Amino acid sequence: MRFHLHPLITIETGLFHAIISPGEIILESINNSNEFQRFLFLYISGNYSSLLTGINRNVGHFYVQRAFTAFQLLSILREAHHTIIFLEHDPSLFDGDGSSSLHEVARALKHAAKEAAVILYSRADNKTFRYLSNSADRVFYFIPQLKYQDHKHESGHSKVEKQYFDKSQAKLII
Amino acid sequence: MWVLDAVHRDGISLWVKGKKKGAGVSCTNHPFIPSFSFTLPEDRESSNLIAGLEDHFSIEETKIKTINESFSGYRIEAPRQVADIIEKETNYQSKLYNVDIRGEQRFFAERNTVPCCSDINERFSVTTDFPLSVITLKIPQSFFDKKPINKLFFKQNETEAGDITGTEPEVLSSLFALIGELNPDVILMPSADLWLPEILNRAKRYDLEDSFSRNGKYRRIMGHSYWSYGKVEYRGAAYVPDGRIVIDTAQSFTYREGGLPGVLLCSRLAGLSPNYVSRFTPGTLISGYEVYEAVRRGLAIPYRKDEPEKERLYCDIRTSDRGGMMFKPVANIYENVYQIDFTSMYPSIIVNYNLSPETLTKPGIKGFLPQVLEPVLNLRKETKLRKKEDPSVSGIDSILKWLLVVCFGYTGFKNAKFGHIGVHEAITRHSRDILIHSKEIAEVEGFLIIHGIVDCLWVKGKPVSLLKKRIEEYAKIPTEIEEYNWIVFLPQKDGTGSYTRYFGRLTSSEIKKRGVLSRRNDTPDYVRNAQNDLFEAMRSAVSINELFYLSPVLREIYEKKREEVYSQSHENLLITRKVSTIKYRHRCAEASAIAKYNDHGIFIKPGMEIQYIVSDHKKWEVEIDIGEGEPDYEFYKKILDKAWEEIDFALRKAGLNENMGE
Repeated sequence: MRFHLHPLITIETGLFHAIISPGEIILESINNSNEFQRFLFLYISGNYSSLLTGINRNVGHFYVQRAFTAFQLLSILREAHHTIIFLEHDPSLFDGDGSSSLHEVARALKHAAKEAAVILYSRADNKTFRYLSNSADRVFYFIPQLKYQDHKHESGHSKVEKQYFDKSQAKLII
Repeated sequence: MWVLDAVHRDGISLWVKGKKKGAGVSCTNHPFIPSFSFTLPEDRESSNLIAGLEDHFSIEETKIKTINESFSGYRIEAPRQVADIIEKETNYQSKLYNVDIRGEQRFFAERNTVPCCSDINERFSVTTDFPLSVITLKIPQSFFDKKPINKLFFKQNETEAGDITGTEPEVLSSLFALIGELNPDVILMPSADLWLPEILNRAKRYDLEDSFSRNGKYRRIMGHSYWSYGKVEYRGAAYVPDGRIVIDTAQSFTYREGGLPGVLLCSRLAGLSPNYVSRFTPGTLISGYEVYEAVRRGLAIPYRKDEPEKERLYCDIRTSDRGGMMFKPVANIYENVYQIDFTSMYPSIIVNYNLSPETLTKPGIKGFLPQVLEPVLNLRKETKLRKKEDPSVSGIDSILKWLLVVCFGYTGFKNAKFGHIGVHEAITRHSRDILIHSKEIAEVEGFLIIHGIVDCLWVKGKPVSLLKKRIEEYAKIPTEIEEYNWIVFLPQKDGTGSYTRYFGRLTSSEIKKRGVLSRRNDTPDYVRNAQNDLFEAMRSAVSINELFYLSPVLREIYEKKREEVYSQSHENLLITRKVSTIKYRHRCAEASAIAKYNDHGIFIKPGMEIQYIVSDHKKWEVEIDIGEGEPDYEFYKKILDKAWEEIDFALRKAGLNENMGE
């Protein structure tokens, strides 16, 4: 089964996908896609979620489980029976004792992808995300293009006033 | 047996104090072999693993009882490293119990004894009389100066006090002789955790034998940064001597809040040495208490928190996990207002509504958390009453208050042994119901609601005693009333009322203030003292009108303080901040201070406190050496202006009130 997370990204059941992108892209996909409403969709967050509060109320009919420890994450992944499993990566789960389970979490993600479309998502690259995504079948990196607002000062010198993310100009590397 | 200190090395060593004041201390050793329990997945590999473990360790089949259920498993006499191996060998499918409990704590709990009292029945007593000899030491110089110790002060009691001066070897030698001679059970010393390793190092250099430890041995606590209530904190490393209690009076939260009686009470509750409890946070202490109670009741404590919450629809989570209730105040000044405060609301909810991880699925049974929290809650009720007549109980009351405050947050903490997010949500759900219903009761009784936050209501109307009675009858939680002559709720940046920034005059003539500049830790003393002087002047006003007529006097004080900035000592201009990071993207005062500390060979870690004086706020230049450079006086005037704005807001509102003739 195939789903579109983004016009440029197709995800498939039976595969483990790892995605790094600005949150706006994922939020837009979840808020506007009917496909996530049609299938059993499990959203797994960690101690903090940067996306959940941005999801519209009217698309709230999907399941959420919060993993506060790496060991809870392992249990959730082992028991998940959903068609799409979306894991918002929280590196703090792997602080301290949790670091010993990193390898096992990577295995559990790969194992869950035998029957589901598994998506591991992070806003930014970090050590634990890289480790987990090593066993992914597909890795997507969205490189944000920053726009610069150029203002001429009285002195004639140019100064960059603001940098902001331009969604339409995001570049995808697979 | 009054146990002063307990040490787990090969076995358990107990340092026992004689019952009478001045009695000596003896050490007794007890055999203790650490063990833990576990279950394995049902497969052939598990049988092989058991066979392999049997070759090296004593292992037996056992019944494991947790707060949720009982089942069959194994008990093995082996250290923690073996537990980690079992976990890895079974791909984290094994379940392990009682792996990470401190040896001495388990020793006490399994024998139903505790340190710091002669009888287990005294465990929950409000005693402030102990058979301990105490001395206070103080080195009158900054640790960070790295200068030789040429002087130190000591004090045994009001009459026996003095100082030791000389070259560093002379001072250290005399210090060790003094400790040897007085042989105190407790040493209170500011920054002891910084100084002790340094003193031991320097003593070694001079070939001196130290006497802090009663047997020459020390335990080491490693330093680390950690998150607590959204802030990064730093716990410094420490050397803990055997057989003697050394408390860092500058760093110890438990000592600062509870004094020595508070530290000893925590030892009795958690079954841990005072040396440890004085260095632990309230969260670790309440967790320690719960662990002790679980072991005492024969309950197994899971090593890993791997039981996840149930999957829920996103729309349901949005409505169930909403935190405490708040009614926003209108930023203004109000007269004759009552503050109704629920005493220990969250722990009372845990006990009254029987909230515990296991009662979420089995509501009929008496939960573990309510069972263990009830005696602590009752003790707090007792100390809260007693402290009014006996101030020596205040320390115990204060530390109990903190233990009960954190016991709620701890239910939602990711690593809490007996935490569960479902319990956390249920507590806040009940608290919201209680506050909303209390507001409705107040409105029915004709009161005007000014503000409400989690466990407090501010109301205007009469008679408040009747309202208190009605609310207590409904909520089954005691309340306390404070009466304000006037109270000011300050505005937020958008002009709406702030939830947590207010000040007012109580009918007892005390000014109660929360969230204002003088209450902030990073406010320099110059500004703190100036604002406190203004509050002091405001005490004389018992009505809004009187406050308004004080305006010229208050403005005069402010203007005088503004001019006094040039005569302030550098100490008064010091800004103290706890840093949450050491990597800054932009230039700021903290980044400059951290760079300067690094230049001085002091390496700052997240959670540590730094101090600096701003010497140029446009370039964010700072000084960390007191006395060096010229402070940026304009910067400090601006902070004072902000402190004045808080007062001026009240005066302006009082003026409006006057003009409206209310």
